[in-house]
Amino acid sequence: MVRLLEVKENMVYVQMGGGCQGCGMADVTLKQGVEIAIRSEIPEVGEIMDTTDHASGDNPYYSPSKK
Amino acid sequence: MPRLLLLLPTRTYRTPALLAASAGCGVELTVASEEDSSVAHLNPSGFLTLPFSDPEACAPLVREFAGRFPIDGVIGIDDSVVEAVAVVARELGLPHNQPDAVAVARDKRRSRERLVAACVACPEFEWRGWGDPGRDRVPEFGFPAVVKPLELSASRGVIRVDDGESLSAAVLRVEAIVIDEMDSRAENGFLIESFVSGPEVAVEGLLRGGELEVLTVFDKPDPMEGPYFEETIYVTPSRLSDSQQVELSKVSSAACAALGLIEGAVHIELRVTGSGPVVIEVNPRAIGGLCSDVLRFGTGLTLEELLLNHALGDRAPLPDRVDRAAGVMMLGVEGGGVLERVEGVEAAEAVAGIERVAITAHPGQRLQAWPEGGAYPGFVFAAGSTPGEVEQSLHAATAKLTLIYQA
Repeated sequence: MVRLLEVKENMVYVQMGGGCQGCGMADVTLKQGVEIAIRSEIPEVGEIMDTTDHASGDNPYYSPSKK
Repeated sequence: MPRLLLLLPTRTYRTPALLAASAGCGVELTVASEEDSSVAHLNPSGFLTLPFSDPEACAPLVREFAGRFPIDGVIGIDDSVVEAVAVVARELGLPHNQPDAVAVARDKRRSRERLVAACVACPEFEWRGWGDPGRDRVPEFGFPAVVKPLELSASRGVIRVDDGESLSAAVLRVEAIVIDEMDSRAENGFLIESFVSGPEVAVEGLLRGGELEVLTVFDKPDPMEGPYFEETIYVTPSRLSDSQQVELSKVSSAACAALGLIEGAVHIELRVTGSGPVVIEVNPRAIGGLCSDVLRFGTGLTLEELLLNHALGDRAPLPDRVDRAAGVMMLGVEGGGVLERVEGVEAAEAVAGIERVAITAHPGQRLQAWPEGGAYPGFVFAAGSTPGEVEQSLHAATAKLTLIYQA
């Protein structure tokens, strides 16, 4: 779930919820999916900012990784 | 614009760094992951689902996708995708390691056998099956020794033993860790290796057409004598002498050749002994965690940008590492438990030389100490004028951090 919080000048602020909050792939969802869809409709849009507190997600994908 | 296929497991720390690198390289990006994306319909050329755990099964899926959206390069730097990357590259005719070579490098037993056959110095070892009646007999090379499971990474389940009693206890403990991880007793068995005393280093390199180019050598200044082997500090540049670093480069090259690795990133761990470097592990991937953030090249390229350019066929001379001392501390979990919060982050970031503190564990996450555990709860980054200064900053900052666990 992605929620539009605010548009200030041409900056877009969104918040991710549900399984996206804290997910290791949240950046991919935003940049490869949501951002591309917004830009195809509104090419003049500026930066799209994710304001989500991913550290407090219920089920983050972050997990052990090799050094 | 060239299209880059990025293999990215859903459980990774690397997403922001790799996406930033892709944006900086001016490519059309396709992200392949092992789970379907819920927004794939918004950008059909931007997503692909691949079964990383079955590398050969990725081949027809990629072939079909590339028929619609031609792919110019493929990259994946997490441990769990390197075999799939090799299969995909083979399928697309892109320069990369052969899948067999990557599979051998990831198999601790087979890689040791190849190193021995090529006369590359590595620990003496004996393989034991979990079902062997004499699985905890004293190894011929004696003690100290190290018990090492074949399936796990990040030093999970790796235990130093100094006598028969500790060997028996370690084998039982490692077996329990493997069963917990694999949900059954794995068939692969385990290794008992001779413990190699001496400072440990990591060589970060890039193979291009079979030639190893050393990007940097990291010292690990904290002693790693066991009984467990979680990482702490990586600092670069190395304080070893030029001649020792030349030896490290030679032995690392020989190790890559012995395993058949010819293309892409390698992360090689060695011990420096009186009789020369001894190879502990050769990983066909870049340094993990967030540690690559320590490195900058040329005008400020990240390691990920360097690797993406290589994946897209760039064979220009590699830029030098930016000339500064830098390092990272991987935070330990202390006693372990369910994490409530981390205290002292601001104070740690205020220590001279500290660039940032990244806490990657989240409140509510269960953290286990080594050897059962394998996740670092965070990373501290520092820079300075000398490696010694960086090391001091990292220790001072880490002393200000406290992990608070739920009661």
